[in-house]
Formats: sequence, structure tokens, C-alpha cells
Amino acid sequence: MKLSPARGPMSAAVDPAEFEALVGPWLDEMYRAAAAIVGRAEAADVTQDALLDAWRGLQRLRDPARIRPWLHAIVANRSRKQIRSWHSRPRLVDLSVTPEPAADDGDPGDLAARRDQLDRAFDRLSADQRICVALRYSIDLPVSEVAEALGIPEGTVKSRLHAAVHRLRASLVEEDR
Amino acid sequence: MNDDELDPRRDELLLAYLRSRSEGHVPDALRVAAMRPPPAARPASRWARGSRLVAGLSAAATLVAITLIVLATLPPGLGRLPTPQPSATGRATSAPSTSPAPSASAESFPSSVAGMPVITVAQAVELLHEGNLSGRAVAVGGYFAQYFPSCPFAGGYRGPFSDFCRMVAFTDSREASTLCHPWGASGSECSWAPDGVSNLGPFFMSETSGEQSLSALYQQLPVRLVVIGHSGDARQWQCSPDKRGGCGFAFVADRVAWVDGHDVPIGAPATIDAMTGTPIQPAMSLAEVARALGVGEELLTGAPFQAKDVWTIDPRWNLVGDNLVWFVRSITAEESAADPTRPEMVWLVDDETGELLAQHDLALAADYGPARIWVNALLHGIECCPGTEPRPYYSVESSGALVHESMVSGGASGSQNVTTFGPDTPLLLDPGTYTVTSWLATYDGGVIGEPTQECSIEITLRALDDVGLHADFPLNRPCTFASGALPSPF
Repeated sequence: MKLSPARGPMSAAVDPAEFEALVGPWLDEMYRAAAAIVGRAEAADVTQDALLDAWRGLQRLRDPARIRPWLHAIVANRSRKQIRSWHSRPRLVDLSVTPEPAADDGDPGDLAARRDQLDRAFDRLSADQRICVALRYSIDLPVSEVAEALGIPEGTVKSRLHAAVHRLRASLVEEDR
Repeated sequence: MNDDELDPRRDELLLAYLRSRSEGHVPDALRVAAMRPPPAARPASRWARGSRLVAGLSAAATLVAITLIVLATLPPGLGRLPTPQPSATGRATSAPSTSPAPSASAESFPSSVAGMPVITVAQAVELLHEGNLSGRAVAVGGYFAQYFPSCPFAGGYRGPFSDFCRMVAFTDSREASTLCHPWGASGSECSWAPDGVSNLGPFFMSETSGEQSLSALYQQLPVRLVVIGHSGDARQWQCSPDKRGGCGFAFVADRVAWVDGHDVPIGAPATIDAMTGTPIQPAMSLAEVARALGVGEELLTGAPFQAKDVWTIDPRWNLVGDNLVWFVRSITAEESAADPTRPEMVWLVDDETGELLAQHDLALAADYGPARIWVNALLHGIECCPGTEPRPYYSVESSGALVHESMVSGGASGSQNVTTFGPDTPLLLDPGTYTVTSWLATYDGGVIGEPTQECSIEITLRALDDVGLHADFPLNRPCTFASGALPSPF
């Protein structure tokens, strides 16, 4: 069983100013990563939980220079839990206008259909595949930093990307038929 | 084409899509709240310590989430919140007890709603503890607030009446119901209502009328609220064995009738197909259903559901099929002017014909003692937790007739090579012999695929049996069933 430990009290030794200085610059990127993985409707919740985890675990960050992959690891963990929760409760959807995937001169109906097709394909990815794809292509982290954030070998990142990219490409091919 | 990497020329569309998923900026509320962590030395309750950082934000996020769900599931024409209507004020403080009335300085409440006297929370709690609300409606006025802190994974079955991840107060004083207090520049700190205060936190269910009128007020909590509700709900039998007794005392809201000086008209809540999440769009309106039943002011609530989902509202009815039925509750005539409670009736009406399909008292029969089956499924070779990979389903037949059919839900947990689904809400069955069948099917965008790896088991149930049914799915081979102890954890 993968059960989350119950929350305990927050760390008493973290200086709020230090926390803000370290984490603040990465807040937007944390939110964007969460949005890319779980969708914008639930990104704020995931980011909020990730921040709480960061606050509680800041003392375990040995090298402040590695704050970025450390925060991405936390966002990835929180996103994984969020995805797991979709099986036991209604999933939120973002009702705001969604940007079109490409600013070409295609038919708006076709673009919406492609977007929908890609959404469906993305939803079919496993949690680990979603995280790898989001960090690599939505946040533009190099494979080496994705591997560092997730604590896995670069080869594993590549294999997950391979499988995910194959699925996403296939969805577009299906759409074109 | 490199299989591992996207090519900016050939995969332009895909790259643009993936980049668009991360567009946007962190909400301002999150930015401010996150950057103002509190000092740990400040004394607070156990809950408050764990959730202080995210208090106001979580409430706001929850409000947004609730609003999104409500808006996403409202049938056409029901997208607006009920228009509040001014109402008379005053308050009944007569029957049934000698409990002290709320302080004279409290703001006023209506003396009656829907032809029922409005009593205080303290009076209602007394009635509840005496067993006088079982299957009977009562109108209660008090100060209401609820807050949903950020919570860990529950890790087990919670049942229909659980306060997990919910702090709620419904008391006779604004002060006692003020769960959250401002903290620092932009945060807040929340804690439970004080011990010793009569607190009757209502459970708002999918059939509750008027709850959406509260969602617009979550920034103004606590609010004055009159809710009509009951205890002794049949869903107490869906609670885990150790919690069923307590669940019988859950105060279940039938109708939010009045909020902060305004009547809330009865309206059908937005409902969804529990399996696909698709909004239910009935042919009849609630007013038409009430007319078909000959129910006027006695109407408490009515909501459309697919027949196969009715068991989640009243587990005494096991129906199959996706035809729509209306689930309606009403009160019967006043029995005694001194008694503020009224017996409740439950009705099922066919949405297509308006025909009354079934009815019974809300109160459970004295000898009601169903058997219960708790189904879970173990899928080998599937990494937890799947998206649209095959999911387990089960059906129950009696003498060849289909009694029940649903997904094995309740959440999934596991590891890289195994995933467990369930346990979730138990199915209540009369004593008898049944055939339970489980299978896997893909689930993609609300479309359920062809069944595979099917297996069955025959079980004989006696009254009050609690039977765990465990379906084990080896990779690409038919499943096997085992019955025995209840699934864990509970």
C-alpha cells in the first residue's frame, strides 16, 4: 500500500524569510509544472500541498543550489497523489478557455478536436509518464534534470518519454485517419 | 524520427500542446499565502497546526472546486443559484425541551419554514440523542460553517457520513461556529467548535436541495442557516461495521431552507451519472414530479438519478439500468402541534412517464437487517494507478435476474506491478443466494469497453452477514473469486 503519512506539526526551525527567498522564485514554475501534470483546475491545490511539504522538509535540502529539482520532486510526488485520488472522487476540470495548441490557420473546429484528442491521450498516460513529459516538454527541463528531480536514471526517463511520446503521436495519427 | 525526443519541426503541434498545458501563473492568493508561513510556536489545535498555512487558501480553492463541479454538472436551465427571497423572522423556542434558547443578542431566525417550526440546535441535538429524529424531518436554525483542510490520503473506506477532511459547526452561537480566525497578514487559522457546545453538523448529500445557495457564501462564514434534515438514514448501513451505530445519528440534510435572511426555494440539485460523471438531464422538472405525486408544501427534495445509482441514495433499493428516476422525499401531515418533527416518505418516480415506481417510509423497519457484500479487486501486472487501463466491474444476479451492476471503485492503491481497487460502498442485499460476477473493461472518456477475464462466485447470504468478496485478476487470465473476511483497511 502506498499510504501518505499523516501530517505532523510544521518545522519550527525554518525562517520564513529564508523560505521565501529560496522557494519564491520557483513558485510560478512549480505551479506550471503542476498544471502540466494534473491540469489547471487542480494545480493550485497541488502547488499548495507541495509548498507545505517544502516548508516542512526544507531542513532536508542539503544543497540550496539544487532547490529547483528538489521542488520539482515535491510537485511530482504531490501530483502523483492527486492523480491517484481521481479514482475515489470527482475530478475537477478547467472550464476556462483553453489555448489552442498551435497558432496556425487551421479550422478552429479541427484545432479543438485535436486538442481534445491530445487531452484524451495525455489522460491515458501513466502518472510517471505524465510527470516525465510535463517536466521535459512543458517546463523544458533537460533529461538529466528530470532524472535528478525524480531520482531515477536518465535511461528510465528516456524510456518513459519514449512510451509517452509514442502514445501522443499515435493519437494524432488516429485523428488524421 | 527520434522516438525519445519530440522534433520541433515534425512535432510542432504536440510540442505546442504540451507547452500550453503549463501556461498561466500561480494565483495571487497562493503566492501570498504560501509566502507567509506562520511561527510554529503559536498555540493551536492539532488540526490548526497541520493546516494553518493553507487555511484561507484551501477554503477558497475548495469553494472554487465546488463551484466548478456544480457549474459543470448543472443541467441546462439550472445554472443559476436560487434567487433568495426575503422572509419573516422570529424563532420557535417552545417544544420539545428545556434546553436554553440561544442568547437574546443572537440575530433572528424564521419561526417556521415549509410549515414546520424552526427549533434551535440544542433542541435538535436533544431530539437526536433521544432517537426522535430517526426517519423524521425537523427544521433547525443555527450558525453554520464548514471548512475543508488539506488532508492526507484517507487510506481506507470512509463511508457516507464521515467528517474526514471536514471541520463543521452548526451551533446556536456565531462565536462557537466561527471555525477560522484571521492569522497574520493574509492567512487564517482554523479549529473545531469548542467542546461542550451543541453541534449538529449536517451532511449535505447529492440529493440535498439548496446546498448550492451556501457555496456563494463560503467567504462569509458562519452564516445563519435553517436546514431541514433527519437522522436514521438508511445509508448508515453503508458505514463500516464499527461505525454503523454512529452513522445512525448522522444529521442528513434534506433541504437548505433559509440562509441569512432569505428563503431558499426548493430546487433539484445537479446530479451526475456516478460511473461516467455525465450530468443528468431529466425530462421532467421537480415541479412536475411533485404534481404527479400530489405533493405540495410537504416536498423536501427531489433529484434525478440513473436507476443503477439509486442504491447510493437509499440502499434499500437495488435497481439496474440507466433510465432516469426521480428520488423524492416529503413530509407527512402534522401529528401533534407540540411535536416539531414529521415522518418522512421516500418516493421513486419514472422520469419518462411520471409513474410512481416505489415508495416507503424513510424510517427503517424495526427488523431491517440486510446482508452486505464488500467487493474489492486485485489486478496483477498493472502499475498503480491506472488511467484508462482496464478497470474492474461487478454484477449481482438472483435467480438469473440482474440485481446490481457497478464499477469496483473506492480508490486504487498499489505499486508498480499490482493495483487494488476498493473496498468501497457495500451492497445491501436481502438474505438469499446470489451469483456475483466480476470482469475487467477499459474505461475511456466515459465509454466502457468489452468485458474480459470474467469470473463468478455463488454466495448464500443470511441477515446481517458481512462478506468480503475478493476478485483476483492475474495478467491476461480469467479472475478468481474468494469470499471471506472484510477487505482492509477500514
